[in-house]
Amino acid sequence: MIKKLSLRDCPLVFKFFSLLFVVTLFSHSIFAQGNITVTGKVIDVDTKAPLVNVSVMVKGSKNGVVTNNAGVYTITAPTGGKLVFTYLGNTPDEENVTASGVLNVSLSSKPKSMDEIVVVGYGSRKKRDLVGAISVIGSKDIERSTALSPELAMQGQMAGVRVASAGGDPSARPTVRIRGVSTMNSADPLYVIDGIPLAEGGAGVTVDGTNDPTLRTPINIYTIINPNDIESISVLKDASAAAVYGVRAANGVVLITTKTGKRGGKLKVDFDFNHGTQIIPKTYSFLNTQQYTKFYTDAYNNSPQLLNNVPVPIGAAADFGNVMDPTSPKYLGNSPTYDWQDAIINRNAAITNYNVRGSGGTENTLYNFSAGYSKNDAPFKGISSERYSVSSNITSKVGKYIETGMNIRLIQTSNNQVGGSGTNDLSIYKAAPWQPIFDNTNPYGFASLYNQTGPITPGSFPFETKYGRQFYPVANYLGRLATSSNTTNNQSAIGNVFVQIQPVEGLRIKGSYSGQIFNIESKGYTDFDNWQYGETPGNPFQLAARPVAGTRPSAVSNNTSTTVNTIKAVNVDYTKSFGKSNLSVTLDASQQDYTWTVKRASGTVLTSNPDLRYFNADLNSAGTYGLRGKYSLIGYLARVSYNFDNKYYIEGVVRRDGSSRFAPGKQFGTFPSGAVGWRVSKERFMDKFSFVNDLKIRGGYGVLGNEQTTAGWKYISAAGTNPPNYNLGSGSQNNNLGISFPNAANTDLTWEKLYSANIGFDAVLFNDFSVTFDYYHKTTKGIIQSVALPPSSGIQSGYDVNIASVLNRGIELQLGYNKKIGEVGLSFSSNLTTVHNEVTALLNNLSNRGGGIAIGKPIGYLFGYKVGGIFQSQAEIDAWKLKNTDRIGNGDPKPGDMYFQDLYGATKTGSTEQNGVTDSIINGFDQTDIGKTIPGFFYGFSMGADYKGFDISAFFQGVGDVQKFNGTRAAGEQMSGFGRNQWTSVLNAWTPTNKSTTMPRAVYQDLNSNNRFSDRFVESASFFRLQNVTVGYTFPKKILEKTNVLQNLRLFVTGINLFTITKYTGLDPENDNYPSTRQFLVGAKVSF
Amino acid sequence: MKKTNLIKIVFFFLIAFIFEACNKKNLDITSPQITEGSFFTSEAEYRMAIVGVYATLTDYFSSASIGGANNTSQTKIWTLPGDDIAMADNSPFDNFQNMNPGNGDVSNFFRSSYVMLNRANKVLFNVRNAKPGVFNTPNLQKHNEGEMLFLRAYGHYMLWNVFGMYAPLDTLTNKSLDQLNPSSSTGTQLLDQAIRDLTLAGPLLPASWDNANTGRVTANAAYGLLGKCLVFRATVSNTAADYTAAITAIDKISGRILVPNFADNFNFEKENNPESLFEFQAGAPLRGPGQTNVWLANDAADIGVSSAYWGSFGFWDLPNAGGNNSWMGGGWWFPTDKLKNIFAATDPRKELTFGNYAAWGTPSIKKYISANRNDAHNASVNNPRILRYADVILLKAEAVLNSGGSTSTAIDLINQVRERARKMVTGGTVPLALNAAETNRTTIMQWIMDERLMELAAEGQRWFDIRRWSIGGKLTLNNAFFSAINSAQMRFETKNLNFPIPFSETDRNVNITPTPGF
Repeated sequence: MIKKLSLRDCPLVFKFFSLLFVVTLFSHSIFAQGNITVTGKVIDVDTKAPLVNVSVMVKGSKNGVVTNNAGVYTITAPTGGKLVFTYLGNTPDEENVTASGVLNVSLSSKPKSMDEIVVVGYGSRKKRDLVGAISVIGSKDIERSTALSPELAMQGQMAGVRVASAGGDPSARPTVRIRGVSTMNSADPLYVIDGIPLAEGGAGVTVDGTNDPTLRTPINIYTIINPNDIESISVLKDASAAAVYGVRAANGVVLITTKTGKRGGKLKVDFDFNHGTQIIPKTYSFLNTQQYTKFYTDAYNNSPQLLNNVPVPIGAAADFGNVMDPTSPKYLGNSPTYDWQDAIINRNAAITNYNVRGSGGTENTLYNFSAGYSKNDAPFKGISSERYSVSSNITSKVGKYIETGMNIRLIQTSNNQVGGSGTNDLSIYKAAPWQPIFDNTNPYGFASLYNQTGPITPGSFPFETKYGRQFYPVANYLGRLATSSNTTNNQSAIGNVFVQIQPVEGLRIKGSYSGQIFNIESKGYTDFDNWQYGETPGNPFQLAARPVAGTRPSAVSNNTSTTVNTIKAVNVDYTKSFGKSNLSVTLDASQQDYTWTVKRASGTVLTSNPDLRYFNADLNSAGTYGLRGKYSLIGYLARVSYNFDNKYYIEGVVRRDGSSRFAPGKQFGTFPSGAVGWRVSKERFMDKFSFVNDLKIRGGYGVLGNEQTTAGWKYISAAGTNPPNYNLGSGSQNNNLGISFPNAANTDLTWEKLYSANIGFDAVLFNDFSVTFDYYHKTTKGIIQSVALPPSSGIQSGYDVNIASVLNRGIELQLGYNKKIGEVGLSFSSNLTTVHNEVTALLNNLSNRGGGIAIGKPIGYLFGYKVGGIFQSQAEIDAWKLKNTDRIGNGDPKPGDMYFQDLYGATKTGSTEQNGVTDSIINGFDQTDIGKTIPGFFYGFSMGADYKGFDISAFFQGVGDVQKFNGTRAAGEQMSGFGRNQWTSVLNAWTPTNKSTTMPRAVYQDLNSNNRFSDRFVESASFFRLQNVTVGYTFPKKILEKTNVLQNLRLFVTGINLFTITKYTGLDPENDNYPSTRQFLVGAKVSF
Repeated sequence: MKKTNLIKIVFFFLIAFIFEACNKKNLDITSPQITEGSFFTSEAEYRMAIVGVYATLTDYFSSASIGGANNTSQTKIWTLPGDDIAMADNSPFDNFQNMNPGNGDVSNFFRSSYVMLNRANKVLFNVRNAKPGVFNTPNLQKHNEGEMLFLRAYGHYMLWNVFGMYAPLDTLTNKSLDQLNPSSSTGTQLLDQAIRDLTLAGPLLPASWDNANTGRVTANAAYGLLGKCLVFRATVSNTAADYTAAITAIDKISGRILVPNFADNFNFEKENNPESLFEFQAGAPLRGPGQTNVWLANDAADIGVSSAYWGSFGFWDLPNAGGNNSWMGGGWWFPTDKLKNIFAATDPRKELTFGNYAAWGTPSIKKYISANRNDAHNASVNNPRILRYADVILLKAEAVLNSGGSTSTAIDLINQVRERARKMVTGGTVPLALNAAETNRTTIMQWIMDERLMELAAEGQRWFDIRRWSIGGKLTLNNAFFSAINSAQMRFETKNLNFPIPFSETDRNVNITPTPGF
């Protein structure tokens, strides 16, 4: 088939763009000037010491050299031309070639904050020239984190960026939210690695909401980026910065730029190493066996329900049973207490990182190779993560006008997690304290939960529980570990190739092809013997299709999730200065296609040999599942930036994007933005304010899109993913496959749009003090929400509709201070972000309060009852009942039970507003706002000092104005169930002799519903944490020079997560059962 | 190579990229799923869609129904509130304590019912609008239409019995956003709709299906359910015409008998027997053995699990494991004293309804258990009988009695049911035949009530019966009536005649009237 090459397919901007090619192709600009040899010395402006490895380039050409050990260079340059001197990441210094051929230069060896180069989308800018809101961190700050993936390196370090840690599991995904939460679901930012926008199958809203989340696997794919390879991370926060990524940018964009070689540098080899251990900082305090036995006996006796029916103290044998009866031989109340938390904690869990990097460059070629190895043994037994990573990038000039390059990154990680449903975190404290952990008579050494009473065959599964029926034991995690495995391997690659022509100075035309493949394979094995350690044992033969008595089938499963993402792009970049005017134009066209394929199979094998497990598995026996998702995105971009004399700035961006997720005709959306800036400090009238070194005011407004909240094809009535089926037929019935169309099609579905305004300023004061301030105001409109329709609609799937609006606004403040006082260097930096989040519109103004969504409330707010207090006497109850009726409990409270507040009456028909007229009835209508889960503010600050070779730094971070329903406490202080152990705080429960006003009485079955979702368990989740303290020593150059090999050597000691100040009563306000670990590391950085 | 040539090559390479990237057709990616618009092209595809509607019955009866799992079967909604079964443990369905619109089981039942209606509406529309030539088998299109009408009627019947007038009517095929917030129905509108649909369905449906399709709706099922709906409506609105219409409908049933052995009605080997009018067709799940797990929520009408909940007991209590108690979720189920005492001592039905096991000292419900087939993970593949002929005969007795018909005809109908029970035992004398000379209609009505309690005990009919009799003023419900095990915990109030419209609906639908009292 011949594809019709028609320009009609393209928008106007591309006709212009193509024309530009043609013009530039035939416009020759030839430099015909005389040359001269220039030589000189480059010294530090402060110390006057010679600067080594300063890049010296002839402006407008690719000719360049570097200074030698004495700071001296020699270069051939055109007369009347300019030389560009660049040291480290500093602003290049331009000097005119002198007639004499001698040009000595003084440079600053430390970068000035305003001169840093900041990577923006599709290009870079000096920080001083930014007009959009962008946060940046460099490699020095990134290296502070010991996490496997880059997100945690941003935690607390960037204004506007909130990173919630995923706990101690090294392979888990942290949550990243930029400037609040702009939509009800799928609020993850876009990640762009060296210009490649990543796409992960299963992220965002997917077609099969039931299975997709598990198929995606819990592995964080961003571990593909070794934080050690990162040069900088820029986060594009407002529309004017992020509009270049149009459709994918509404949740912000994280641009990660990796390290490259430096032009003209010799091969430099860096070696980093650190090694340390991590521990769980806090564990639960639980009841010992004696306390536990007494506690449950009392709680049982408090239940009128059972008092009526069965004798106290301990009920029928089938219920609490004789294990709780002191007169019975089976009594367990005198057993020792077993500490399950202690048993599963991995002491001395090691963290190890090695990284080696070689980089350098010649005149025409830059290269960088790096390799890394990381191992993180999680603080719990059986969990670990190991990663090998390699990356290389190389760019090379072919002749004068053409440059090509290639960038490749590969990783292999393997992660271990226990198979089956074993509790792999501290919630294991819930084991009855008399439940033993170890058993010498068991072949695996761990106590089983059952006594087998006969041989297991395909048809019979004879066993009995070791404890009374109500005492479901917890799965023996260690036994599970010994009899199962669950390994996830992530073999992934990212790469791109490009070719670029630069026909005239300032114009670059670049074509690139980028790709990414994430391949995550999860393998599970569950041994035949595993059942004895589980809470709900099943006959292991059940998993075999044709079980053979006498064999030992073990279960295996295999899940492979593959995302293939390709991007084709053409990019034109033109920069030109004429007079005091500076112009920059960027045009880009790209197409991104991605497919997500998942294959899953499970079955049984007859061997326990780890090498043979995954061969010849009898996959007939159980499930296979396949999935394929395919998406396409086309985007056109034009950006024009102009500034006059670096004083007045104006920038405009238009992006037009088309997405395959929408109906034909609704696919394309246009996203414009504009920004202006004014460098006030350059105005005459500012001269008298000499303490103001730099001051720039900037503002921007624009529109961004988001398509991630719809799975695609929602304009079609499609079949459900799990086909319904039904048995029909006489005799042996046959299963018949059915079909249903459970959704409702919405042909009008279109883009959700984020309208974002930003105003702010950047200032440098008193030479050493920098301030960045921003005010942001973002409204997301037409949020695509999968609305749960009223059940009476009979429509099962969510109905995707452009409905809701959400407002996010707040301020950001970033302060920095750097000063050298004598030989002591001091630095201080801090950031603060506030977030006001509010839902402003919903479908028919209908709230889903239970789901945390209501107009005027922040997303995810907590909706529940408010506690009134605890009845201290029957008289109080009688008085209360004269006025009130509680419809949630059984209406028969006893002293020690809680009462709840009557806040609203029944909703009026035709309205969903909460009815403020109280009705003396406590029922579902009395639930109210009892907390918010989006922090009102978050902050971080770090301080550092150095003296001679020694340096010390400390980094603090925290969040505030945030609440959390402490679900762990709700379970640990439930006091109404049976069997599960409780927190020791329940010893303070109300009794006639201990009239607590905060902790209700313990009563089996909780007839008064003291445990309803209420502010009883809502706590402040604010915290303040000393995240990192590092002490280092850098050896003096003089000593290193003697080695002739070492260029740099620094040794350091680091402590991470050293203390947390919080009112939260759980283990960690960010993670309940899996707290972030405390780490101690030693390390070295060596350069050759 | 000359530089200019090289530049040109690169240039053309770039231009080619642009044109590739510009092609809007790249955005038109076919949906990975089958779409409604491309379906319904053959009888086989219609059959699949119809199976999809039947599958919604799974939500009502399966152990792994939507939100299913262990303690949350929907079965309890119509099985527990009656005065035939009680629990020792606290359940809002048994003692009405803590029943509120947040109850998950009620919410799931509400949702499942409307899924059934929505699917039936969709398929009904497509059957009625089938393209010419799609249906070739004679009468199949009519049969399919009848099936959809029946299932839609059954959904409305269930909704009326559980929520009364507070549930909305649903007969819309395609719904737009502005049709999504229906208001509550009024009076007996839900039953009226069921009666309309069943009246249409009867003549459309076949007398029977071939062996491969046994279990699908027949004309007998439609007439039986029509009779039932008419008697229910007559009970609450006291209209003689409905009773008369019910007799006419029931008389159209042909070929159904009371099987000689009462126990055959609960025996997995005697499913769809000549007494059966309609059953849930339980079976082994599609995905192979071991995939039904009553302990897990399989989210299931859609997942290929079709075991029934009766017989889902704790593993330590399976009869073959030596246990005897019936566990239906949330606790152990026992016969009430009322049920234990109403049978004549040697009524053969007594021992089949509940057994007296010395091991536990307490009789337990065993109706579907004695001849059950258990699948892996404690699921049952025994069909729950939704409507059987004995039920219909007793309904006819009620209709005859209350429409002013002959008392002896009514008594004779009751006696048919008693006779079958009596004759199960060779030379059996119990239960005795009732005196056909009795003319006190109140007495005879009490006989019917008692007979229904004995004959249909623990089959999920009792609550709907006492509910309608209570609304119609035929009896008075109070805490004592329920004969609870734990009578002190009973909290029945008149509001409990309806379960509350769940918050999941009232939170989203402004037009619906919340059930008063909750």
